[in-house]
Formats: sequence, C-alpha cells, structure tokens
Amino acid sequence: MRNAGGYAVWVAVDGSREVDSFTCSHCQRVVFVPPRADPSQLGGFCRQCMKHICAPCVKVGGCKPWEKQMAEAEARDRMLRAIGV
Amino acid sequence: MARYSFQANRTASATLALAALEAPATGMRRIKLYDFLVGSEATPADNAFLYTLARTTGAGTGSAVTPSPSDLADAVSAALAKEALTVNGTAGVNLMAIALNQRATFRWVAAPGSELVVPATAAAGIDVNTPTAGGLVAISGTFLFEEQ
Repeated sequence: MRNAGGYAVWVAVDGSREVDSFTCSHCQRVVFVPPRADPSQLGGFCRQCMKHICAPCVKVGGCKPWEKQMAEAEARDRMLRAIGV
Repeated sequence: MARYSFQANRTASATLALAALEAPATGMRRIKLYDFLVGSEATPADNAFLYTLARTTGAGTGSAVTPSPSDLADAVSAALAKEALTVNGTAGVNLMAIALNQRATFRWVAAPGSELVVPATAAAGIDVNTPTAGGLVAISGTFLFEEQ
C-alpha cells in the first residue's frame, strides 16, 4: 500500500504475517490491508479531507475528521469546566 | 512531545480489560498511541484470543502502572496507565480487532500522523480487551504513546 498509515505483524510458530494498515480519518478505526486486496472492500477515500476512511464511515457519508471531533470534545470539556459542571 | 511506554499484564478475562490508557480528570493532554505488542507468556497452547482496542469515555479501575519516558529528561506522563482492570471504562467505538492464537504475538506500529489519538478530555481513553479468551492464561502487552 502506498503511504501506509501503519504496519502490523503477527508472529506465529509457522512464520510471520505482515500487512499494512490505515487509520480511518473519520473514526480512527484501524483497517488492515492484505496484499492485493480489493480497495472497494476496505473502505473508501474521502475527497473532502483527502484521507482514507473505513467501510462504516463510507456508509455514513459526509466528512467529519477525527481532529475536528476532538476539537469539539475538548471545547465542550473546557466549557463544562469553566461553568463548574 | 514526550514519548512513554508501559507494560501491562493480567490473567486473561473475556470481560475485563488487559490495559487502559486514559486522560486524567485534570491537567490532561492528548495521548497518541503509536505502537503496541500483545501476546501470552504462558506455556504454549492452542487457545483462541480476540484482542480489541476500544475507545472509552469513563475511567476504568485497575492497577496503576507508571509509564516510563523514552527520554529520561522528560517529565512524568500526565496520562494514566492501568493494567488488570477490575472495572472497565465506558466502552465506545472499537478501533481495532486482532484474532490471535495464544502461541502468536502481534505488533502494530502507526506511521506518523496515523496514531490512535485520545482527546484531552477528562477520563477519555483506550481499553485493550480480550472478548474472546480461549484460555484463562497470562497475557501481556507493551504500549508506546506520546503526549501532546
């Protein structure tokens, strides 16, 4: 996989298995990418954030990157702290 | 950005987590899990395991583990590391599922920018569970993360 987002290794008695992975830009689910995998089975590519996304996020549609979700969660947490909740 | 590692051990449980990495209630920072290894140090046997990494929104209860900084000049980590949980955190989205024989070990390394990031909000975190634990044997994991 070009520009893989990660790398996974299983080491077993009968040898090792290695695959690339990518981390969904929307929900951070890690998707393993076996060699010669059909891209359509693995998820999709969001043309708004220009990153790979997992199959469940493809079905959801829209673009809400994890970075944006974290910023919102942190802002909410700061606000709750400020008002003493 | 300081980097830390910690090791977690427990007797496998289908309901209780092996490890948790959580933001504290105050003074939290973003946590980026970028590398981890899991396996079993028990006598080799053919038992099926499923390891999952799940987001949590509430703090779990477990034995505290002090993460060790990769650079000894770095300060103590703000993140809370726990092993052998007795109460799991409030489970959220599953981030990863790894089917593994007891005889095998697994390692995942994230490329820069693809880490699993925990927001800097109180008690947010990631639990490492074994919902399928074919044998109630000793399992362990090593986790590397950075704080931002």
